[in-house]
Amino acid sequence: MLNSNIRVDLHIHSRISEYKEADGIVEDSVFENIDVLLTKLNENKISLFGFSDHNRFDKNLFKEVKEYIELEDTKTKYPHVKNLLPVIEFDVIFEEDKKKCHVLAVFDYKSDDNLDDIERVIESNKLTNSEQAYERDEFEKIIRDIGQDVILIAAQRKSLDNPRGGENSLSDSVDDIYEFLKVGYISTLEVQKSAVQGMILKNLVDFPRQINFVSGSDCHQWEYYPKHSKNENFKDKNYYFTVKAQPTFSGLVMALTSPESRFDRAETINYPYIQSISLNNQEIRLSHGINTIIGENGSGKSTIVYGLLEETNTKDGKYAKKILADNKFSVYPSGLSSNIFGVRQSEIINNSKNGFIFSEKENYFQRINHQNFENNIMEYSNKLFNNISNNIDIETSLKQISNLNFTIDLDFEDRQQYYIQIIADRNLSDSNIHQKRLIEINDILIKIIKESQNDYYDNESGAIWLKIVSEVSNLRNKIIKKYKERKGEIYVKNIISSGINDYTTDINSLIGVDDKKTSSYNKAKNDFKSLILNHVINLKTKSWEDINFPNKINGQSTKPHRGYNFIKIARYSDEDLSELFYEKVFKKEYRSIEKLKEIKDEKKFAESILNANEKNYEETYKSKISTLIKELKEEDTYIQKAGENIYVGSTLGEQSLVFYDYMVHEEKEESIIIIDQPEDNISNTKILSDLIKKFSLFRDQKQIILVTHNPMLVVNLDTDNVIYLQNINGKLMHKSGCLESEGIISLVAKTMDGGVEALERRYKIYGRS
Amino acid sequence: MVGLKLLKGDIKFMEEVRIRIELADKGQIKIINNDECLLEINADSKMTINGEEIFKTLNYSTNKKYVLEKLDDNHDEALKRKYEATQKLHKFYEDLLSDINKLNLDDDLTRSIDEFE
Repeated sequence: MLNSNIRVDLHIHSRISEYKEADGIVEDSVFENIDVLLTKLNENKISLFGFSDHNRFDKNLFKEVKEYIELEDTKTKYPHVKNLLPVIEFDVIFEEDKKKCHVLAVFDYKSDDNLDDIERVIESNKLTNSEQAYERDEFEKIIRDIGQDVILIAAQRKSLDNPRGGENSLSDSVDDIYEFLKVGYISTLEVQKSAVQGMILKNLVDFPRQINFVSGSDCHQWEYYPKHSKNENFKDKNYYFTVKAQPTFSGLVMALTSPESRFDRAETINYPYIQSISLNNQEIRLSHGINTIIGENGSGKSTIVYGLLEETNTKDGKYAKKILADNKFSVYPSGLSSNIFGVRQSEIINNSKNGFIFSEKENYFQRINHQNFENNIMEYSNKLFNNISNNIDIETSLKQISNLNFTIDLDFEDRQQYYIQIIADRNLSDSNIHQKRLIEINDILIKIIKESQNDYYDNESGAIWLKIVSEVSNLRNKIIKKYKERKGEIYVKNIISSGINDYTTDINSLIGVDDKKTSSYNKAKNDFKSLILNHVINLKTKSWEDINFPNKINGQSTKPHRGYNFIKIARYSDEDLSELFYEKVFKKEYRSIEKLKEIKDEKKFAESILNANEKNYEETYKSKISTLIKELKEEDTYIQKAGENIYVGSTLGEQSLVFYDYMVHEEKEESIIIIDQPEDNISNTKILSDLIKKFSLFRDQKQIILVTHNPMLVVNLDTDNVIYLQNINGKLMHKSGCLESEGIISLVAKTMDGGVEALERRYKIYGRS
Repeated sequence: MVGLKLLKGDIKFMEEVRIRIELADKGQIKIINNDECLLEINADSKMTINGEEIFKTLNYSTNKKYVLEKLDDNHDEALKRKYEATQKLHKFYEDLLSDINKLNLDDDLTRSIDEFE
């Protein structure tokens, strides 16, 4: 597992370089003085170093030092110094008529046989003259003959386009330095000065992959480490490089193949993180960076997630709880649960199926106010219904009078009666013609008052609103007065009418036949007039009120947040709904105002409404309207990258990527992020191009724990810690380490589909293993 | 009160509908609406009128003011009974139009606005 950076200096000379250093500066750089060097290395916190002599290899020195630093005493004495690697600084002429160049060849060390091979090949191709250099063919043959994995680092002491100065630089030695770097022949450049690094980076601005330079002390006189020798002007020299890797050849390979994740890592972190978990009393240390949990299906990966998230209420959670208890699962330090943000790709998928990738509790969207839409549709549909009903009433009263005849008969007209006939006025029964206006002005007043109370208005506007409210109230009072007068009149007339009826009943029992005839003649005449008046009243109060279908209403809300717009759009938004309205409520042949105007009786009205009959048509109409409103109020949610007018795609993969992107940019308080199988539904191309980038942004910002089946996430994300789980008869077993740890790579290759391919892609330029 | 003033300006004076009942020389009773004869009834002392026809003679539409012109009493003695019947019809119209006018006036919001100002 990787939790800290190491310092590396692979460029230290020993006495065997003396054939090129005539001034004797390497005289004392021998094993007898190794404590001088180790003290200096320890002081400078160098963990990994290498003797890199000019075209020579001192096998004995290497072996002696290697054995020495592995002694417990030495380890205690020089705790920073961890390992050394065999390195040779070759002089190579890559191209004819070009200058020579210094190339550091870093070899792996697995056994002493490796050292023998290096020594044998070097000795048989030995340069004797200090000015001599190997030609490219010779150099490559030596590397091939040594037959080991190797990393080649070329010296570069000036900018790539500078023809002068900077001896032994790669740029003076080859025509096309980019080609050498591009194919990976040369892994990286050794550059000592920061200013030169800056110039070279500028030269490489279009280079297709990230290159991080390494530095070495080029120390010849150990006593003066990290100086070259006593008299060097040490100012501004970078004498080591820092990487997050194990102090081994594999660690170095990882660092050079994933410079973005291995170089320039934070030295210290300041957020809480889970330091370890424990299974069956065995500790599994976690990195504060990126951890991946891998293993076959059923190996307990997701169970661990339940444990970390302390989710034990669900059915799966309860099951996990049992397994965890059986395996004595614990987390150190405890009490970090409030620092954990957990997400399962399956949750994102479920949420997405329900309309949106973020869970509801996350308030990403702004509510849409549907009130206007609802009011408008309700008002329109009510008015439409009333209009048709009124038409029916008018037609009914018209039919009544068209069937009504009255004969004016002079015999009865002039006849004297012996009692006073009073005829009740049947028109003025219950129709109060002020009622309609009163309802309207009430509505208006409520709207005005509501609007006037909106916080939007300042005091000045508020005063204007007050005036308006007061004036409309006055007008309303006038109408109320009339309404009440009419109501009173009707009330009184009703009483009188009742009295008259009683009186008529009484009189009828007393009067003679002729009087009865006269009385009934007068009543018939009055009824005749009343029915005509009734029709007039109907026409006055029930005429078709012009209605327009409500204008398009915007039912959209946009909440900009962290580079995305979270958009909600109601179905009705900016839509012309009239066609849909008629389609949902009326049968085909009635779907226009003109057709509806022609409805003159209840039977037709019932027939015009879908699935309605004469008994339930009003109810059916209302329920259809409310269903329509409900449907149209449904909201779709979209996410839009700010500044782009394109909505993020609807595939689960694309939406998930937004989720992660947003998560990356959101300043979540939680310092620990646990994600269960983030790769589901995301294509491998997108994993490579997007997901890995997003997760990389968390590096050194948060602790990440990923459960994954995808080797690309493990390998290309260059995770700091891989935990391989196995479930053997209910017992959870584990193996863990960073990618370069012994056996981890082979586990990734073996247990994950595509693991071998992912690794091959990465290692193709680094030898055979 | 700008809005209301505009509103007032938009309101038209109520259109006058003049109804006249005539006893013609040949004894027909004519009901004339703004110089147009809308109903002709042949009648003697008994005269049957139909509700819809009477209604149509008003040429009804909302917010009109109905004026019943005075019944001309120049008539032939021979048509006396018919004249009497015409008078009764005239009386009928008088009552009917008075009620309609009352409704119209009641409903006329212009009065409210006038009072308001």
